[in-house]
Amino acid sequence: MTWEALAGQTLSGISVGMVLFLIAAGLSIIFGTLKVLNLAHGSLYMTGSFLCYGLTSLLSQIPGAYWWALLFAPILVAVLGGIIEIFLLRRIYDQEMLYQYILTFALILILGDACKFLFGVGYQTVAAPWPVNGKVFLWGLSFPVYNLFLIGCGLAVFLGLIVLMRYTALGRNVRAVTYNREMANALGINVPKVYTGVFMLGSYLAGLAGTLMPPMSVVALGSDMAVIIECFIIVVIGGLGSLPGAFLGAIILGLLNAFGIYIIPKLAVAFAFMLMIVVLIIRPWGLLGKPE
Amino acid sequence: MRLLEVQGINTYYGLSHILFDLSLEVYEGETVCLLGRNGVGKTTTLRSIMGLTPPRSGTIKLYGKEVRGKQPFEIARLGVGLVPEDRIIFPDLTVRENLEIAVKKGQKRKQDGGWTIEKIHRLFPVLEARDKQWGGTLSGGEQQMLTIARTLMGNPRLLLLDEPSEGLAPMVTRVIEEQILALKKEGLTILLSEQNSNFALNVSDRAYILEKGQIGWQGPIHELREKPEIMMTYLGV
Repeated sequence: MTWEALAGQTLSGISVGMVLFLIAAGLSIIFGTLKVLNLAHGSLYMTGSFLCYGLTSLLSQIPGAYWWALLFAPILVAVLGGIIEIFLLRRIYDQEMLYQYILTFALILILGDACKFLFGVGYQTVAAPWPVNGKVFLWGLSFPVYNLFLIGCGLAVFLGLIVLMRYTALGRNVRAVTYNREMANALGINVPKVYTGVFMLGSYLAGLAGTLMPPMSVVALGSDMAVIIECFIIVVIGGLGSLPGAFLGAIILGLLNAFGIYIIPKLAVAFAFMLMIVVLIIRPWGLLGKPE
Repeated sequence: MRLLEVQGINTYYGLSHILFDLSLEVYEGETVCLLGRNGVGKTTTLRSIMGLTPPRSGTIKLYGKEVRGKQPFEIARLGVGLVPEDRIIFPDLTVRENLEIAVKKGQKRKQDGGWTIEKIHRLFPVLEARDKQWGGTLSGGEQQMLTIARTLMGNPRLLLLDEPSEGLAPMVTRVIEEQILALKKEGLTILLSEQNSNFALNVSDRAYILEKGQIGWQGPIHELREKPEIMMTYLGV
């Protein structure tokens, strides 16, 4: 393996990991607070990526179309998440867990078909926008600027979420509801509103990931299932409910995929699962999670 | 003035019927205790009032206004504060954050006689020393004080205390007792549940004795003191 390949794979692994982090962070926050394992979280990501494609083609005459898509697509996904929480999930919190799986699995099918209906079955692409297109040369090696941009976005969201959760009144209320929703409710916190807010935040992050990914990959049906499985692996490795855990897990998985496909392509997919199994055996609560 | 009026409530946990046509009332400025053996429905009564386990029938009125069926946070905002038996301090919040979380929007400030962190620290000096610590690091007695303080931060007009002396050393119980008497002197209305009858008799004006989800006896505290056979019959003490 040459230095160039090593550096290239590292960069691409970390930048894909950043996108996965955004999705896994949303999945993890929603699970922590609402105790809902949102199987359709990958579908929110895919919806975001189709909205990114749709908005950039709709606005293709306007300069900077992609940036408008980056602004609006995640917001639309957050609104969709709000609708899902208020009209569907809210009815089943008191029911058995099984209902959650049935409902969120139904949403996978509904959102998947909605994307198919609206955007067709073909592969779509979105070009990396100016000024984050092209390549930069560092230490005699070339790197796609877009990958560096993704890493910047991931780091910014990671730090932003930590500040939000640790230092704001909103984050304090979320931490309280996460620990004990009944007590928080009895202290005057509008728990249903916190639930909607957290689900919308998680959906926003999925939508943001869906909008950031297309310039580096393709927009296609099936990406919902691909990312949800990767996100489950990430939160298992990092620790469910831990933000730094999701960050670490996402980088590990990104690198594992990037190098796995380079070294033993046939086993690339298996590496992630093997790592997950090892973590589950040695540290069932995840690398940065807390034991129950 | 009648602050709380509970009229014929029936409360269930799933299929099991816990409270049977239970009625009680609390007047402004009073301290009333619910006595009874384990499992007679003391906690359920307080949870019913708070809206955490809403009764299936009956009425619960606060200052004459029906609150049954409202969400707990709405009832909290109407002036009811619950200090649960199991305390439930938020371990991932600092002591200060545990206090701040109970402050509601547009709440009375210091000049209007509302509770502030400073006023809390005067009543519970130990909490000032623990200000920046995580809630999960406090001792049992400190946790009990923090739970009471947290509920006070929401400026309740009616304080529901569920077994405040439960699991505390006698020394700590005495401190809590003094603090409750101090709150009473301030004019706060308190409804508390207790198994420790000495504690309850020292702080209360009136008592209800619960038996199998119903009121078995009610009356002023001095009557309970004068007639030990009542305690013998219902509580076995």
